[in-house]
Amino acid sequence: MQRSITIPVMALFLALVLALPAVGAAVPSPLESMKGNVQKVMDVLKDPALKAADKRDERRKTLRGLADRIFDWVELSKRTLARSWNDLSVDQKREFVTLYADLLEKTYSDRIESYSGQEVAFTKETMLSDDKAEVKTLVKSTDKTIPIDYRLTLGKDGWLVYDVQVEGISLVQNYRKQFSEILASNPPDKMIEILRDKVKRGEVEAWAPDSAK
Amino acid sequence: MQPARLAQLALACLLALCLAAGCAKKNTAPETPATQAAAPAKTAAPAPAAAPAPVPTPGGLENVPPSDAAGGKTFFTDEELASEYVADEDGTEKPVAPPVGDPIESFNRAMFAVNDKLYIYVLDPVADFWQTVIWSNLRVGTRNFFYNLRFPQRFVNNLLQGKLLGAGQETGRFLLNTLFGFGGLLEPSQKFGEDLNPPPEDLGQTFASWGIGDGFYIVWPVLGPSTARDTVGSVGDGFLDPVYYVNPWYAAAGIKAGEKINTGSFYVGEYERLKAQAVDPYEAFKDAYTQNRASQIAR
Repeated sequence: MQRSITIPVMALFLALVLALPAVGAAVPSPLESMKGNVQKVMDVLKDPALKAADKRDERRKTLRGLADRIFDWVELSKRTLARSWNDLSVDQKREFVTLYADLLEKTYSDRIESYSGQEVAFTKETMLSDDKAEVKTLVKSTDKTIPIDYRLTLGKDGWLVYDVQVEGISLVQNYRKQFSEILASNPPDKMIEILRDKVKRGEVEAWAPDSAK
Repeated sequence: MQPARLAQLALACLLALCLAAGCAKKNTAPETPATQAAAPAKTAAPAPAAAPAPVPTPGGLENVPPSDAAGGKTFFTDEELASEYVADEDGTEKPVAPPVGDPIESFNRAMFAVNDKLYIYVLDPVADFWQTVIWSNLRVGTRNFFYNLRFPQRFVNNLLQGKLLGAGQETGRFLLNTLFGFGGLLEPSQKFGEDLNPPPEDLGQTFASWGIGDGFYIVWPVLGPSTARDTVGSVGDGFLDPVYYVNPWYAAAGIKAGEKINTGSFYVGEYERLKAQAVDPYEAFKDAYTQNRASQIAR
């Protein structure tokens, strides 16, 4: 009898103790979150177990797993398409977000894999509003320094990136221009199809020279 | 006359250094709250402890669930998808750079195609070769030397924009790097961070600060994206580039070409990477140019 009460009470107590640090700990600042993100990516890049050439796919998968926790893909997509976002059905949005995330993740992996060995200095954190922030960083390699600024939004999973600015060029705005150009003369399905082809064509493969169309 | 000029120079040098030191003091206090290099192992420890629940610990890679084998849907809900876009909801959206007109688009697209081939088949391979055969420090030294040499451009444009502080910083930088950096091959000024390394100003930016618009977008062969305003600016700036006064003209042209290749050696493969990530490369480069210039003008 006594035992049957003690166990649930103890369990409750234990649960409280376990939950306490989670409740008590404040959400890390945007800068701290970004530092943690960069550190995790660097750890993957430096991991000797994943360095071998035949481990490339595994490393990619790990990086993708990290990217999904660093970026707010929906917010990023929404801001990229801007008003056109509202014209898409939920199914179209789902496909767009997935493909767009694939494309960016691929780009991002290509980039960081070719830049390994650099140092990242976190120079400044600015609160843009209650739940939006900007973190400025400088990526320093032996021969050059590139300013990269992150825009973050506070969600239930903490601070997530919704835009990246390299040398003052916003990724969201750059893609917004490109997609709006496509949407000016095509329906959303066509845009999704173009994006799907783009993702399928793979990595740094030579882009078909139809630029002079 | 000679000693008098020397004394003058020394005085100017002293003045510039004092000015620079003054700025250094003024700027460091509020400007560097969080400057810190990512210390490899140290930051790893506190970050995950405070990180939100679903974030795996950095070491435990096996904790990372295989990503979107099922379409990545686990990372966003239909509710999020259904939410509407409201333009600049909370006033935090970056002001969009004013779009630049493109009345000669067909010419530009043709030039873009020409440059595309030129970069991929000529410039990039040459720069790549340069990067492999030339000692890295020599490439960096060459880059530094030419940057230092074009001090008059940046100095004059700082003055034309009324940026006296920037002009002073440029002068201090130039004197320091010329006198103590073997004529600009080394950059002792780097030790002073932003205080002795102001953002480079050019005539295009000066025109913009006077309220002159872009005019229109133009893609030049070899030189790449520009605008009417920035093209006029580059020509004007050219007169302040000491290389312009090198005689004979083909020696100057050779120096310019060499410098361009040297610069390219720091960005080997970058063009192709940028192109590979774009959905519409022409629009992507046009927008990148516009945004980059807008951010330079704003500084």
